Amino acid sequence: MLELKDASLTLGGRQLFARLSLMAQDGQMTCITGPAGSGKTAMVQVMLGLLALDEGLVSVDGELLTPLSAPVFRQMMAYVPQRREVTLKPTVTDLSGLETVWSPFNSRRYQLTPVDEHLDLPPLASRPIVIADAPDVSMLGMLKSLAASGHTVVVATQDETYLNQSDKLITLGNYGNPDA
Amino acid sequence: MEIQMLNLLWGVLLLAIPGYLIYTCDRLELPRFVLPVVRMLVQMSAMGGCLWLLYRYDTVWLCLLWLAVLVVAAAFLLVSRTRMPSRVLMLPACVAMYVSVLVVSAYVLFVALRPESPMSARWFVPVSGMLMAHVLTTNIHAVRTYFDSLRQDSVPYYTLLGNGAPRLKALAPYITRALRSMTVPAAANLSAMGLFVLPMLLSGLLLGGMKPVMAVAVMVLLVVAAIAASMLSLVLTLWLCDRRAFDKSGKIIIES
Repeated sequence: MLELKDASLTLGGRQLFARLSLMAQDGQMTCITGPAGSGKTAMVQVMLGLLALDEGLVSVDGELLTPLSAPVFRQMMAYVPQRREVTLKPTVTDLSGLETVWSPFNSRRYQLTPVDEHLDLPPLASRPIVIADAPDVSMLGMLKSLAASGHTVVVATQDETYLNQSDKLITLGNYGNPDA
Repeated sequence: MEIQMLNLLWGVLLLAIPGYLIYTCDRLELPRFVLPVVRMLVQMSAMGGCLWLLYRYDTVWLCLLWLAVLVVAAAFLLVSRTRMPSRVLMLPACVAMYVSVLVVSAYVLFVALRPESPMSARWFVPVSGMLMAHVLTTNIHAVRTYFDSLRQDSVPYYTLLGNGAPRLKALAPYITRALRSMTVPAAANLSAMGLFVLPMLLSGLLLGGMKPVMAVAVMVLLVVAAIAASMLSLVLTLWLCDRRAFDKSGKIIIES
């Protein structure tokens, strides 16, 4: 379960949301929607712990997500970025070589979620929380089935197909009064 | 060998050939040619004065101070060429270049070359100067590649980070790019070195009276040392920049 409580965020002098609370529960697909620039991607970054809130808190299963704890929580999350083709190859070899990325200080092996379409399914299913930023409509079935199997699925999108299928809908753009 | 001032002037007169040709063919380009030449002459005069002082007093502290001055000048150049904010890059670049050049110079002088007085100006200044020049030119390219890649395409970084990769792993594609941008030209230069071009350094050693075989050996040693110092400096610079280029959450906070 992913929760935001009394969250406020201002970016570039513009307040994106204020005193917003929401709860993305296990077994549900929660959609965050709103017009372009309303803060959907910023919300995703907040949930991933990549962007700090001005006020409020984010928690995962009741545990506080902070800049310090975020790397640990992110190992429970699968993130599908807005633009999914990666122009920079993650390694000198290819995507399948992710596990052998040069890392002199840390020899632990991390299970990563490759961003390639054909490699999506098994790693996404291996994480209890799935966060997708503007995913392609072709991923809808997979994300719904993940939610049905007990995953917490959060989708930031404007796509009507997703909005119609969501279990919970959060609308940004009119901050302070999220239409939850 | 002594060069009289008059002889030097005769030598500099060779500039008349390119100067005349540019004047006749493309008069508008003449200032673009003359200004750098004048700048070079002024810089070399100042450099000559500094070196004269260094050789005259010849102390370890003066040599270290000389390296510090070189490093600060190089860091300014690095900041301006990489178009990075100086608050992000200046201090890390200074520390990284100073440490890497000093450590590799010390290794070359104390372990490999082993002259009678390794920290004398006669040995320290040319070795550290040569390493410094190589470190600067290669690091400009590599640091720019690293930060430009992050600025232009941060999706792989955030994707890896968002999927639980540690920061070093998320930055690995960019570090790899930076290292590659440094090694590929260096490797290309290495394969051509000595075959088609007689490097300045080798010419200097031969002119200085060193035996050809020794001169080649010293040159190979210094080229290898320069590559090692460059890599060390790059990794140190990126590591030291990290806190200034990213916030606590790992978000990139550098701007153009």
